[in-house]
Amino acid sequence: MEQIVLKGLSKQYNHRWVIEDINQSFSCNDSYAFVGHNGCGKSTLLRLISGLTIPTGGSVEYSRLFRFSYVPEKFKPTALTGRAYLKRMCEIDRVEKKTSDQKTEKLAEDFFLSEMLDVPMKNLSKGTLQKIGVLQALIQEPDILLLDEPLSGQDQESQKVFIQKINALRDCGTTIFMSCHEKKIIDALANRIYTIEDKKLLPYTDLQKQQCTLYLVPKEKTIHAWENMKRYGAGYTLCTEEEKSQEVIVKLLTEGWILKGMYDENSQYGEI
Amino acid sequence: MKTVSMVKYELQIYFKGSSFIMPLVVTACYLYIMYSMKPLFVLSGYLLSGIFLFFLMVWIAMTAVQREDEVMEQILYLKMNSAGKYYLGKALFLICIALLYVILCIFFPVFQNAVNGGDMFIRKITGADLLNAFVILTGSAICGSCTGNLLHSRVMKDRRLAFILTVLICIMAIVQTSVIRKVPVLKFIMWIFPPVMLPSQIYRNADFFDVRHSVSLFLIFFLYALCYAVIKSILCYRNRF
Repeated sequence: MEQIVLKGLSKQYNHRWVIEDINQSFSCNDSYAFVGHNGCGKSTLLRLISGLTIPTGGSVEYSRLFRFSYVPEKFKPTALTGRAYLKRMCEIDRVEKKTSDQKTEKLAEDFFLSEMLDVPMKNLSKGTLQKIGVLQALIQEPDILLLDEPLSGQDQESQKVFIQKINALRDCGTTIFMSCHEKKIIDALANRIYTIEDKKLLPYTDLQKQQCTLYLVPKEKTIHAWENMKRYGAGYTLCTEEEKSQEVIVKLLTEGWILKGMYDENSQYGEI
Repeated sequence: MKTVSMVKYELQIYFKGSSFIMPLVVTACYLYIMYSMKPLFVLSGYLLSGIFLFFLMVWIAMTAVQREDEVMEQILYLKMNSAGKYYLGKALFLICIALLYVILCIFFPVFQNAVNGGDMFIRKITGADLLNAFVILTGSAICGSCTGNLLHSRVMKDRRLAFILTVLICIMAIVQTSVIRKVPVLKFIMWIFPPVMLPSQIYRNADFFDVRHSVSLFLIFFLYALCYAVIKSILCYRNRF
């Protein structure tokens, strides 16, 4: 079975251990997400897996030579236009000339980028530039795709397309490794989730109970707010555990509150 | 094939940017000043161009390193899927730039001579002169590019120190002959510096190029360039990103 094995993997930067003695094997054709607070070593682990960074201790062993693609967190502009850059990347990826133009056009169209392809990259917005960064990685099907906060600055529609494309790659056998903070993306793309705590790689278990926030407006002024409600515009917000939310809502409606909205506390985007 | 595509990409980025303008202006100024007087010796003109090209390529290679963005290099490195091909691509890119300047430095005097009625030099420039000059200038320029690239940002993170050390290497390359003449024992250390003045020493009193000398000079320059490129590539590979 094809796999990547981390053996006693450690990395030190400026005399500070970022990760220490990680032993883990990753089967191919699966998708993995690394979560954790900023600076815990997620991106470092991605780079170590791909061989971009050399470990201070231990090793990464591959069952064969894999072809990697990488979507960085911050894609930098070059002096070229998006089209010229992607054309060169197609050449390096050995995409046939006949198909490279079609592929580029199709991907650009999917990501709502067609009109921006002939604009010099240095004149593009952060989100558009990030899309070019995604396109260069999707031009050729890689064996392993590394995603380092891939959707920073992208619009909702492009995020949906991105999720579709990555899931299609998963179906074709591409292994995904990603470092991500966004629950929505992790839910949509990852099979297995790990976190880095105290320099160790651990399976991620969501110990926090799922919280949701209710946005409420009283029907009448005589209705009194609950102790744990917080003033929010014309109404109040109430944070509650998702499991108990059903009965809390029933109680609130009976008291005469109007439920205006409900938000997933753990998601940046999720209106549920 | 991947390496050729990478070189094309690097060249396109280089010429789309503005970092090629200053070296080109400096070369134009050098050539204009150098070939604005007459009569000139054919050999000394070309040998001086060899020294000029060495330093020009040190400069170009250093600015090329500064221009590199780590994230974009990571993408490129993974796409190449081979450290060897990646570093070969980097070296070939600089060699292509070097060849462009070599051609400019070889044919400008020919053009200038033709425009000025063919009496710019004390003797007629022959095809053999051009061929010999091409060999020596190419060697010198390639050696310069590898010297400028030696202290890459992944070899030496402190860019100021890297700049100072590169300047020091260049100075030592110029003065090594006189230093060795005064303190012969230093020849055991001085050999590590590129022999940029060697062509002038060999052709000190000559009026014509000698193919054997020119080829030897090219091989010596190429050997130095190869050593510097291998050392740089190994150190970059060990440090990576």
